[in-house]
Amino acid sequence: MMLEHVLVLSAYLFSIGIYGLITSRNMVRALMCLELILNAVNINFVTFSDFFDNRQLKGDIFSIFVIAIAAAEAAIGPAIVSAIYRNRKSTRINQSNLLNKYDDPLIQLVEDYKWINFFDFDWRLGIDGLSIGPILLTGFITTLATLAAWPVTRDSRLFHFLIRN
Amino acid sequence: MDLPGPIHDFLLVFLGSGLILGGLGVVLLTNPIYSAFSLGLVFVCISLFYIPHFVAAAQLLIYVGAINVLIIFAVMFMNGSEYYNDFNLWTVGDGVTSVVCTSIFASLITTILDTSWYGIIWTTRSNQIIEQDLISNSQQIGIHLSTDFFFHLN
Repeated sequence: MMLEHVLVLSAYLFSIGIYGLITSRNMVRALMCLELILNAVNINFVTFSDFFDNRQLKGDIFSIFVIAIAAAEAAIGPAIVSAIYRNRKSTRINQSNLLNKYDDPLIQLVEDYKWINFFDFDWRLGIDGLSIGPILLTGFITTLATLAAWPVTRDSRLFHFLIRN
Repeated sequence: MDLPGPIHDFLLVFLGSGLILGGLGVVLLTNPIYSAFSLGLVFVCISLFYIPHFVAAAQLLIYVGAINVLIIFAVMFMNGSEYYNDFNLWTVGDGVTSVVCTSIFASLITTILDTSWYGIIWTTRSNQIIEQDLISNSQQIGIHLSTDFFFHLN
């Protein structure tokens, strides 16, 4: 009875966190809801380690890792948000026009296609200074992985489909 | 949470209602400072949930002491004047998301209430070694961090 109550509470926090993360128009509120989600996961870990692993408490220890990751992400998130805020003077996510054409010289290679007009679903891609690093790294590593996988002869099409990213 | 009977029930109800109200407050309050404070309430309630473990202190120190302060810094950075316009326009996306999240919550509750947890407890009790009782909690954390969770590069 006790275990299920705590798990239901953690499930509630998790779903409220997902709802807030998706629907919040303010980026700092989205980061707060992400912290809610991580805390819900932590409650699950600690509760299970309390009930099933009372001597060794391995779930407890993993939840310390999760707390450390959440702290690091809570440091980087507001830094990015304030950088965007300094640039845009606003943190409203749904009114961001960062990828409008001819608008922002900081974003290159912009693609912009309309998809479902009713929900305002557009398809936009762009490269800015923050994302150029991961993109180059992805290209480099994909090349290396493809070359390293050259001698794969069994199910080679499935293999290349799986690394296609 | 292995405390004796009626204290446990009272604490569960109290902290549970704090968590529910705090969670609603984070998402639904319009002023971002109020929602940051209700997030702090959620963190404190969770920390009280963990009370016999070491993680309670870690949660309180790190989440309330560092992360909540950092979030309030971030909220203070943003200019407050744009938040008092009428923001509560309920769009179609909000409705779809609330339906999806409610269904996620309902399926989680169904799974939780349908699983027989006590059957699993009885089968895992026999695996626990009795000598581990002589080592204290924090020492066990140190032992695990340096053996089980240590990534060997070779």
